[in-house]
Amino acid sequence: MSEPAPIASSAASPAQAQAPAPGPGAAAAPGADATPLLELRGIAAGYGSMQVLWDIDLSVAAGECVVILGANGAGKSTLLRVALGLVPAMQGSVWLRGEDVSQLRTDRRVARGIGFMTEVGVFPELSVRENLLLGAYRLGAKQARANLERTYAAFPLTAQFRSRPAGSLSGGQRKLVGVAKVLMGDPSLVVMDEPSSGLSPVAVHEVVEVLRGVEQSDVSLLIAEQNTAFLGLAQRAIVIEGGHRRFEGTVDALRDDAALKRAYFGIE
Amino acid sequence: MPNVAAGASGQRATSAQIWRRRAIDLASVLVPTVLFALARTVDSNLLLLVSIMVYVVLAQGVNVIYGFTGYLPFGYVGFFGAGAYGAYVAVAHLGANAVEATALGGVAAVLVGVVLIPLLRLRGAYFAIASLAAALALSSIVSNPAVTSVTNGPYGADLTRVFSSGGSYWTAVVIVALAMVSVVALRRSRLGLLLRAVRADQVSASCAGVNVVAARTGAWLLSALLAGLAGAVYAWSISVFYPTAVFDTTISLFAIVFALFGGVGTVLGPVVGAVVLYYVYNAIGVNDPQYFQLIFGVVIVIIALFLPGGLAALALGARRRLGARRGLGGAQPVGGSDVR
Repeated sequence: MSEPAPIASSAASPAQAQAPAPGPGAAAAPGADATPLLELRGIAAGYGSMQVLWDIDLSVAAGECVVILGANGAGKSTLLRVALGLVPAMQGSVWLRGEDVSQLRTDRRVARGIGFMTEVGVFPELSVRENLLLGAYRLGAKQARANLERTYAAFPLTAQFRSRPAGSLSGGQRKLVGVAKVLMGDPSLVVMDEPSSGLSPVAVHEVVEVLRGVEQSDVSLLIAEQNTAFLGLAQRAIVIEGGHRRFEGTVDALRDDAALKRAYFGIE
Repeated sequence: MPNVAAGASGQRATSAQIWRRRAIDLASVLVPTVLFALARTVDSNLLLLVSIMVYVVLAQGVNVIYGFTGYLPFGYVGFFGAGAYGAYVAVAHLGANAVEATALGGVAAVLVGVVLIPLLRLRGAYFAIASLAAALALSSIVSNPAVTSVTNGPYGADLTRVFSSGGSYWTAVVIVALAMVSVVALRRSRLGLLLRAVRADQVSASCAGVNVVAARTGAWLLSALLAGLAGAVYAWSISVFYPTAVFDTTISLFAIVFALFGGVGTVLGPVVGAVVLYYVYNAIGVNDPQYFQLIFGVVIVIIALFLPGGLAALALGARRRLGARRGLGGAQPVGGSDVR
């Protein structure tokens, strides 16, 4: 993959000059612990001999929402998969609360408080209730049952359709069940891969509103998206293009960047 | 947790529902077990009854590994043969009695399963072929004249010293009960849910915190245990056998087709499939094997084309239609339902 010319750089952004974005290892959200919840350092990754990511740094602080923006094939999902241990990094390391977890299996990383919502979000063949119970698998049966009642109350949809196969629900309902499933595990950080995928604008709005509630409950969010609707949730954003980080900074700085506005907001 | 909306109280399963579920589970174990226990009063051919029970157990073993994890074990007969020869070695060299030998046959199959754990890295056709190759290799090892002092090599195994048609029959009944308990427990347990999640999408399962490797290995070894016990009790019931008899790949094929015909992923489907098709085999296949092979081929084609869920899917469809007729909406649960 050839290296495209940068659209924007954080150093070139005036807005960022005023509000510099925290880099890896730096403190991020006000009042947050100095150690980032999740930190990716110098990640290079790919599939076989095909490299799709080059030297990506990323951090998410406690209580923070970070959106990874990029077009199809930019490497967003791969980056999330590296964070979860689903794709091995060619270079770089993954840190959770200051612990290097680069060599840990996915389930061990999940046990340390990461919840991952894939693009599909649910197990379509399993019932909604079974999906939710799987979300709390690591917590044990008793805690899972307690969280199930809490989830039924917080997401009435899950109670209403609890015996239905998740695959029989609409796309928007599936995403909400997917969010509820991830939250069943009491994660500190929820990582989401394209939550807007396949959804109507109305359903996207609904998912965004649910995530706003999640954010207010001090759960950190890391969302890979093409849809800029999710920027409303974020304190910071990074833009990936062709496997390279083209921007990192506050959402305001992103909105002020003329090149990025053209590329992602369609605004001249 | 966002407070999206309040309410939804009273959504827990009522105690009546819980007791109903437990009663169904108990019936799923007891009904086949009691029917097989009583079968000798109707049919005095104990060898036939033991053979049917052996195939019920094998079909349930396939159910565990294929129905819950998606691994199709064409070499499943390897565990069966290991169980048979494990029992022989226990009797011939360890001085075990027949019941102990049956248990040790199960252990032998589990040990073979442990050795073959690396096969679980493969998926789909690769796993199916590799498991078949492993079974053939095991058969070659057991029948090798170089190990005659252990397995009696190609000259066959003799268990007539412990032969007891009644003893093997009742032991087979117990093993059927064990197989039924295993599958019911899998259906209800967190492990069963976990295995179905792994089968549906192992990446998503690992993202839910599931140790996918451990889950698959657990199902694999349970499946091996069931086949080993079945092989051991079969060896006990026939007393004299050769490697070609207990490592015959037709055994794998029968077990897989019986399970698929009844419905994998269900509790009773493989039982019904094994009983129905083995009786058909016994009625036709022994004297006119060519006709049975024809019927068997047609059954496989019908399953593949029209009935991927087996007889259990037919039963579920009928229940749905009945529910719709009663005004219950028809769209009743599939995933977590009580489809038996």
